[in-house]
Amino acid sequence: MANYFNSINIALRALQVQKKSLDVTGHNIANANTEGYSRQRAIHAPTDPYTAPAYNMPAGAGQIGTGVKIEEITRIRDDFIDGQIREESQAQGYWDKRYEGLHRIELIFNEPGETSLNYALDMFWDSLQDLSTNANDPATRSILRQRALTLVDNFHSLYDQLKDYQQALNRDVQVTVDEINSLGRRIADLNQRIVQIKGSGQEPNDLLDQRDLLFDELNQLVNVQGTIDSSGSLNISLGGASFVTGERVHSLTLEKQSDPTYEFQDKVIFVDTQQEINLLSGELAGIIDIRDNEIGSYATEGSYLYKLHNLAKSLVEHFNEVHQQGYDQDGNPGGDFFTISTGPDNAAAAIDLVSDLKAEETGPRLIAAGRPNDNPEAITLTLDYSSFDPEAAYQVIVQKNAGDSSLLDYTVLDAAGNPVDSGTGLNPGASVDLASIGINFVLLAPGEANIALSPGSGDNAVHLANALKKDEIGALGDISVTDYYESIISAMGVDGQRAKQMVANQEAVVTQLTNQRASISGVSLDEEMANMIKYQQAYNAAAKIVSVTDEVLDVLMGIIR
Amino acid sequence: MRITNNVIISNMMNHLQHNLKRLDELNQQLSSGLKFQNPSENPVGVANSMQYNSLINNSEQYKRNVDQALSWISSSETALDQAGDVLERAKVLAVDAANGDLSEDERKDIALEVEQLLAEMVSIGNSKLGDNYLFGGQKIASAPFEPDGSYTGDSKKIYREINPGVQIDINVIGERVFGSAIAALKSFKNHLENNDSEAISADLILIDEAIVDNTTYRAELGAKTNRLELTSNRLEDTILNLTELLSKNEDIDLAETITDLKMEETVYRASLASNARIMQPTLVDFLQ
Repeated sequence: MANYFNSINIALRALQVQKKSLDVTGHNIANANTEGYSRQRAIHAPTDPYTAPAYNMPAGAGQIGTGVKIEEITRIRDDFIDGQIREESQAQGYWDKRYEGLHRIELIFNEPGETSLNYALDMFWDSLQDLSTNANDPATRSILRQRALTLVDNFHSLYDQLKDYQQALNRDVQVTVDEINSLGRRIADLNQRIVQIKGSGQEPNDLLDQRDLLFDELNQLVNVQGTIDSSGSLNISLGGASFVTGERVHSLTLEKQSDPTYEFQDKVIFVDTQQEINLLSGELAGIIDIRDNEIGSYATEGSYLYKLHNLAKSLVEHFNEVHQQGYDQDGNPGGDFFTISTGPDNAAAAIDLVSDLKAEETGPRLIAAGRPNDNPEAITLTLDYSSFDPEAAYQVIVQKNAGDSSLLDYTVLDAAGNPVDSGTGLNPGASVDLASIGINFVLLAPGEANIALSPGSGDNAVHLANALKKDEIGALGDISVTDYYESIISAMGVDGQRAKQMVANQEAVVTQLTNQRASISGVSLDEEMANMIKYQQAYNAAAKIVSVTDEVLDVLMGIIR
Repeated sequence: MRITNNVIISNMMNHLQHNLKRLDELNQQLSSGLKFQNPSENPVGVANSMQYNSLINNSEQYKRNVDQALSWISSSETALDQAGDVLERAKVLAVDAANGDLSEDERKDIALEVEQLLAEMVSIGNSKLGDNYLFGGQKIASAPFEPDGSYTGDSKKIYREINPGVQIDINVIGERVFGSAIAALKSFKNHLENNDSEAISADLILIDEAIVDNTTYRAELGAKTNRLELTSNRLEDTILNLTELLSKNEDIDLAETITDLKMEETVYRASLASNARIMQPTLVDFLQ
């Protein structure tokens, strides 16, 4: 027993379903270039079949199909790849920002180059060598002072530029946190609408795409983790603490550090709990890493500001120590050369020439190029400059004691060769104090030592030059000032190279994964075209059924007429 | 793998970007002439460059020190040569004056010349290089010899660093090199004025001794000049070698880089051409 109108119904459903499928195809084509869009598919399924009742049995031969329906419109998406992309984007964001920061720091140091600190150190060393060969020349002294000032300027400029960049990074942190908050709010809004639509039994494909896209962006910025609960809302945790729950956002904000050492190193905290967020990866972590750990402060061990501070401080202390062992052009003992001015805590910002040295006329005379003792094997000498006559010359002759060769005798002669003082039978290491002429020395070994101050002596200048390139300084890990600086640059290069490599690696991984996602979720125009033809043909065929059924009915009606 | 239009486009963009990046790198290398600009591009290379630059700078400075030492020593040698001439002349006069036949007046005439020689000797002892007195020890700012021939300098050596940790003393202490000569001339002059021909014979010995002193110091200075010239040559070699190493370390090989650039350019053009072919057609073009 056939139902004539059943055919019309089946055809009608088919027409509707093919038309709807064409709409889905159109939607796909329209969104072929929409970022984050996943292609959609209308899933066709037969409608429930109908068992025709019969005269002598409960049902006729088989069930009669009743046509087609769209079971669901689904988006094609691979959650596993999404998860991988998000994890890798966090790492990519981190390394991107880290490399950007390290590269900027590299440009600030500008090595190798003629405006770099290394060049200034070399020039300063040259001047010290020149001074040793020409200690009496005012021009040489002036040039030396100028180069010392250039060196000081170089320290200041490095410090200022690093500080400026740190401030800029702090603003970046603010901007990034604002962006994270905004993304969180938009995801929470979408959560609300998605839960509503899902509740009514629909699949909000496009809203899901939008939410996924926002979540992708969020992953680029910060280490978040998402879970989708039974109602369909995406709950996000950030470093273990809840960030988005349903339609609620726990916003982030910045908190200034109370210690001025950490100026421009604001902490990122949750507004409601005041708890600091736990950053592991993402752009925010990269920026903060550069800001706090690479630039840091004089108190952050391993940071560039710490290294510069250490370098400047050690240079000042050691150089001054050597400078004080000499005497200046007027025969006065050398004072400090550099100073660390009060004010900034970082020695790289505070390093300066002592103010007396800065005086145009008299300053260069104060550079202590001379050393009073030219034979350190025989004695070690300290001069009491208050009573030592700069014009006087003394000679100390140390000899083995005639009776006991392990003991020493000494004679001090004045410029005319007249003995001033003498002693016999002293142990090596014994000290002799001649306060009246301002000499105090310790006997070491047989030999002669001349004690005089003469403007031509450049002996201390050599020691000063060595203070830069040769003397091993404990605070720098037993290497010289220039070696320490070179090690800073080497480490910077290695760090930068690694970051650069990581950026390339992450880029490759993310590109690969994104391609995989595009391969699964992306719209293929060829495919959509083929589908379009498919649905069009099916639509035509269904229409044909209507017209055929119509004709059949016409025939039937004709019998009656 | 299902290939969609966007996969093709994103792959194309990635590869074009990659090619352009390589082109840009090579272009930067060619226009700067350097293999790297920043430490992160080649940490070892940059560390080496810094080191070579420092070493070159050091060697150039030591070279300047050596040159300065050489000019000091050659000035000293010139002065000692002149002193030698003065002594030779004094010796001739002394041989003359020792001759018993000379009259007192003739000896007085010689005494006048010897006085001039003495003044000449003092003036040689006060020789300067630039503003600095050569023979006053470290007291280089004031004349070491008074007009009467007494010495006011000190006996300290002046050192120049000519290699790391290697110092050479460059000065001759005036008292030692001119002391005997001045003393001999003084005594010769006195004896001439006193017309004491026997004492003059003894002066002849003193003058000979002074000549020996003079020659000894000249020989020593000559040896130092040799040593410094050797050092200077070696430093020049070092600078040359280091400059070559530096260049090898950081300068690009022009032929190689240009070839690389050409190759990259070919790849870039090929990828552009292939992309242009592939991107255009879709099924749309073939559907009516």
